[in-house]
Amino acid sequence: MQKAKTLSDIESALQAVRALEYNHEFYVDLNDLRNGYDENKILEALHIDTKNYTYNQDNPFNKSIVFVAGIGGSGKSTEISRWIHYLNNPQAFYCILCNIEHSLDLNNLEYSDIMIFQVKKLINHLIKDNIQLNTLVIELLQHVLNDIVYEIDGKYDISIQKTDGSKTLKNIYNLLQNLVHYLKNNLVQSRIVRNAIKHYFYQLVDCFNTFFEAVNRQLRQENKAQEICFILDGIEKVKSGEMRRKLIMDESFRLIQMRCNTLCILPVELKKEERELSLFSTVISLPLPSVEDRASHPIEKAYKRFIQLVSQRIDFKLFDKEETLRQAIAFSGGSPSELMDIISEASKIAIFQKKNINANAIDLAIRKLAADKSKFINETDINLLKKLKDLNKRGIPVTNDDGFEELIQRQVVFEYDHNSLKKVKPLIKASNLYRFHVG
Amino acid sequence: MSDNAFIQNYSASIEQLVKELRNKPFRFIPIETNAPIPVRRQVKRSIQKHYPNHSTTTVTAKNETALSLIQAVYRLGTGIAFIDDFDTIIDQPQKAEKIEQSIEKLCTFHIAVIAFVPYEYKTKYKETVPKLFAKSNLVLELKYIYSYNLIKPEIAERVTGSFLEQHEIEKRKYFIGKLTDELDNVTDNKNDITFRSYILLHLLQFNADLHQYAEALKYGNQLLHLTYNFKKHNKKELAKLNKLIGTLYYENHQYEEAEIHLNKALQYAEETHFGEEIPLILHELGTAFRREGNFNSAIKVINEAIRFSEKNFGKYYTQIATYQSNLASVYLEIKETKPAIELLEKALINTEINLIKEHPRVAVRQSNLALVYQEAGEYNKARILLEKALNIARKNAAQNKLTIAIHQSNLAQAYRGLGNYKRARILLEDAVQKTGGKNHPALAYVYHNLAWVYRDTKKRTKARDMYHKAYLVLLETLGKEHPNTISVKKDLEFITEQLQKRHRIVQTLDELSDSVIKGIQLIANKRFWNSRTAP
Repeated sequence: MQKAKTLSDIESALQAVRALEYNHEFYVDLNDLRNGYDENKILEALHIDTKNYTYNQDNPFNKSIVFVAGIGGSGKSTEISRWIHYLNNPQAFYCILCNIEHSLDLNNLEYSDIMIFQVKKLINHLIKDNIQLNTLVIELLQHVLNDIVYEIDGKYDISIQKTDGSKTLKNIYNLLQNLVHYLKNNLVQSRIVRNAIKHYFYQLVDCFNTFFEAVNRQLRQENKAQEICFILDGIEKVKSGEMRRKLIMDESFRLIQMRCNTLCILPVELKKEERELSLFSTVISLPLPSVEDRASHPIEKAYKRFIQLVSQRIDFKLFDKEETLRQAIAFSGGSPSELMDIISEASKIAIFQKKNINANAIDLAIRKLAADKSKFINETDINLLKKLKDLNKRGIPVTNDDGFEELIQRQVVFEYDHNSLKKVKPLIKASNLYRFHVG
Repeated sequence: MSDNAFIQNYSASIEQLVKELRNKPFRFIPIETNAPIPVRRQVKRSIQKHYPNHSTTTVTAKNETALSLIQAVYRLGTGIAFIDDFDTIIDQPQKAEKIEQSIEKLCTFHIAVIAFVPYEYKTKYKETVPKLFAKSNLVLELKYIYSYNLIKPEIAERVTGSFLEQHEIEKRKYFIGKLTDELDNVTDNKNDITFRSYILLHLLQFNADLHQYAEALKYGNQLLHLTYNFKKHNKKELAKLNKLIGTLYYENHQYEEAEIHLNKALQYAEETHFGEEIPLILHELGTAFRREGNFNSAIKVINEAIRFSEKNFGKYYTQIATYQSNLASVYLEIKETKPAIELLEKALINTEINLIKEHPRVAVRQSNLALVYQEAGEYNKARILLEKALNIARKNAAQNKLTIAIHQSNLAQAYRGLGNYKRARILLEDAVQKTGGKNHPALAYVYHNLAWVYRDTKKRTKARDMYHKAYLVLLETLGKEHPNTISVKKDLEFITEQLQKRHRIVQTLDELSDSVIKGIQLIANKRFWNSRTAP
């Protein structure tokens, strides 16, 4: 991915990769702009020393589950790659990133799918890193997986072979690969596989946990890490809100059976369940960077940082002047993703106009995006937005009731400052619908 | 009261009735019953034996038209007409109507029509044939009480190795050996302790699967000790482990220790609001109470588990079906069939909702419900469910042959209850083949059922052979002191004695083995006897 030097390069440069690898040339640290966010809290929740990134959990039975909640496009996936970089060391973790977005069916998902996918990813890493394991542990896992295969093979065109008897990780990997295939294939097959997994759930989870501990032991012996840590990304992209809730809340009893350190991205609408989630996990918010203060005055530091963020991806000469970019930043509301959308749209207009990106292009882009993003605003939303406007005008804190949480989840409203400040997304505010009904 | 006393009471009632009838016209005497057809036939023979001077006839309504039924009664002229399967008349409204239309003519004959009416038709027949019912001064009940000494093929909710095939047993023994060796190589220092705990957990589980509960407890207590040292603040973990240990104690018949651990588990679970564990622990406690014979406490506690689950996880939460099934078992222990049926029906619906319709667990639920239908005398309902269960068992590659044999055996019982001995025999003989002679208590059940069918069809030598096989299996698997072993031994001794005497065995009630029929009560409905007068 290269820096865009012409207008026609801009769209591909901005769309190609939204989540950046650590140390990528495009990466810009926005964390100090996220009011109320302290990265150390994540590390502490994982029992990682913040000075030297070492794992210091005294009780080996205690494993941590940490949920990180943030609105879509706020930079969570990019931050994940940073955390992996720091946590992946011999004194801390062996990190396994499990991004379900392109690997599982987001329209039809249960926790058992994620469980199988996690272990498959782990085994893939172990094979790549040539980590040798106790064969007894492999045999135990083969034994229970073979029982599952026996139950499902031959049903509704499912064709799946048991492990061939050789006590290798490759063997198990192939079997899990097949299970994942059927889990995302069609509704009937996925249901059969899931039912079999649930039927054997407790035996399976005991074997998985034994496997994890055997891996931990081996990692320590080889001085590669102290413990495994799974990082689950993509759950917030699961299509239905009901399914997302089921995965995290209703199936939490399955999640906590997997005894391993886990860092999971939490769908933002479930942040209000923090009280219940904190019974077994730690919930941390990753708020949007603030580009303006409570009184809506621009924060110069934030603007400079976002200008840097854009300049690293796009040759600054493609803009007519800095004010043009500032205008785009203002309407992004602090969301890097929104900013990319505005500039990408403006670049298309600029190509058409055969000019650089100017205020007019930005203005037209904003109008178009405002119309698109306000398409699904309904009467209930309008009433809530009126209420929000009034509360903010009078300086009254906004409650965390269901209506506002839904608007945040749909990215109609943005949240800042320890989640104490809610504002209408600038692109929504710019829409004719909003102007007409809310003013 | 003994069976003879009941018979005498019944006979006295009939004798009085017949005296009444002597110069009196037609009477209809329904016998409401849950007894299987073989028992009904034995009751009939008993009546015939007591009244040798009366002409009798038996009509099978299924095979007759309404006209031929009526003509059979006309031909008898005077005496007693038995109708074995009165329910078939009730199920065919046209036949019933024709009989109703002939009532005036039937009333001119001095006949007692004695009809066996299954319980499920108790209300319906009075509405279907009201004129005929109006001719009854006496309604009798033949209540058949199933013996609980014999093995019920309850395919257990908790699969703790009950139906392990030989290769599965060998696999578990193999893992126990390997894990025991591995345990010696794993220290209890900080780096190894978690791995050690999982080794102990697997050893506990595999030993439990093989019913080696004392060994399982040995590892369980080590695991508990380890957990208290490292996870004493993790009460959820302690809840789960105490529940596991409690379960092992009661499997090992150490009920006091079981209750201690289960109550601890419940305490930890409640303290930590450990939602899922609370009903699980309550259920285990209930099962322990049941084993002790403390049925009231068992009912209370398992009901609490169901209520908690419904409230917190929804009406169709999958685990609720297990609780409902086991609560039904408790009700059956105290002979309350109606609540047991209601619970098992709910459990079946729950399981069908949560799993695909061809899941083996659905077959288990169907079987359990069908067996209770049989106890309530609803053989046809039982048959339908058991046919479905057997189909599922056959479709599932994972089902071992012993499980299919048990399903076949259950279905054979239903056919026997309906009087279809041929079908029952075929199913049972095939079931014996399927078991391949494996020594398992459930096999004794198959043999015992086959013995019944041979006896019903007068093949007494074969019946004796089957009793003998059942006895040998039980001797080996359950031991000579077990009630089931003693019960089957009595049956074997009885039939051997009969064969040795070379007498034609007269199948009267008082000659039937106590172990087969625990109580057959014929209860005269005195209200009818006293209040109605002849037309």
